[in-house]
Amino acid sequence: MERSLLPLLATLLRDPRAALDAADDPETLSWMVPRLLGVLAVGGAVFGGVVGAYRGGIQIPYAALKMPLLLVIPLAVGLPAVRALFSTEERAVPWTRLAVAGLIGATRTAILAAAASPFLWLLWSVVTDYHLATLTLALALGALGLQGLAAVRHALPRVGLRDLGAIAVAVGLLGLTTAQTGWLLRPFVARPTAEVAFLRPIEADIASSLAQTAKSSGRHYDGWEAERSGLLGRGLDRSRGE
Amino acid sequence: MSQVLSLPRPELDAADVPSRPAPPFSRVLTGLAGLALLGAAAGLGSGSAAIAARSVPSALIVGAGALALTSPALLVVHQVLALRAPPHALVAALARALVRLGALALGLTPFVLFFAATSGLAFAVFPLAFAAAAALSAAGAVRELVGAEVGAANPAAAVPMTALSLGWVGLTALVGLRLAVGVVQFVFNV
Repeated sequence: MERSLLPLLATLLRDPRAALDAADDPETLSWMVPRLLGVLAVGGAVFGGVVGAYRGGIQIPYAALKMPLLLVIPLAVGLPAVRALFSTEERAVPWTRLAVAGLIGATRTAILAAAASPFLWLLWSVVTDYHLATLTLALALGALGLQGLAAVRHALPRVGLRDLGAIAVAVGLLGLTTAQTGWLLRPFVARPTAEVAFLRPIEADIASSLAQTAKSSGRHYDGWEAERSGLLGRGLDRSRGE
Repeated sequence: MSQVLSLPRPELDAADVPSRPAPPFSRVLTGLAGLALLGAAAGLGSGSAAIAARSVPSALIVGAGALALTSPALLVVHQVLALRAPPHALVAALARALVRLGALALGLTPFVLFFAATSGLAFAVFPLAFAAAAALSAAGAVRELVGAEVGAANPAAAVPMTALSLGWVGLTALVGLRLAVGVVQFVFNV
């Protein structure tokens, strides 16, 4: 593979396996990784900026800064599980190859997300309802994320029908982690009436948020007091649970 | 003509057929550590240091405990059915299943830890993660057990061995569920 940015991008889009195989060479790997990270950051920022444009103002750079993290954090959390799911006693999946495959997948997702940004921007020019906007974003990220995940399979041993269970667990796990990461890094779209903040406190979770959103979209507003949650949100209390 | 077709079949002693070796003890210990880490990760999301401490052995008790309690039944019924795999081959297959369960638990620990750190869903995600690991390692165990039997020069026993293995998996699941009830009572002090 030619060591130049545009050929690298073309290879990522046309044949991610070739990019992954090229990264087996340590020199090519050390050349490729910073560029992949850079493209991921720029592509994610472009998509994030468009997402933030729904609210406008300061939300645009806020979302642009956070969107690349949404692409990377689920991989960091989920790849150990993917490795465990598809490693066998005879053949362990190499960590480096798996990590590079994950990075390639995330970068592909960022490129495709940036390419899809004009469509999202046009759609939100017409569809202004907040709930529909967040649903559109979730669907777009789901579709883009799945194809990014497909790039990870190139690092795995040949998968067959007997791996259907492992595939289902991997997809579900990464989907849940991406959803929770999105909740953690909120807001991206930002409610029209809410105060804009870079990050909100660690409270509640994606499941209760979706339930509340479903109620709100059906015009059932019963007030929702989100409580701080998790180890980062409330810490460990030595006096509880004795 | 019939003499040409009916070739003599050598009688193989099952003990003479080489079987896959048992995993080294270090890998079994790593598997057990993986189960302990999974429980510890879930406990960190409880908001209570006491609950977190009591959560550490939870996956270990349910997973390794269920396996230890039901494995003798598998070995006994296997002998009663006069199947041919040597007991050490079955024990090796069960040990590999435990190693696989522990490896999956270890791989799923960052996932559970992420939810424990950022949400109140740790004790919802933990049983899901453990159930997924248990189901996948159970599927592998069935393949290993049937493979041990077929590998003992007994391909005709694939069906009864599959049925025995599936019955054992069902028993292990039920015992695991019963242990889980006790573990929940212990962890949450109810």
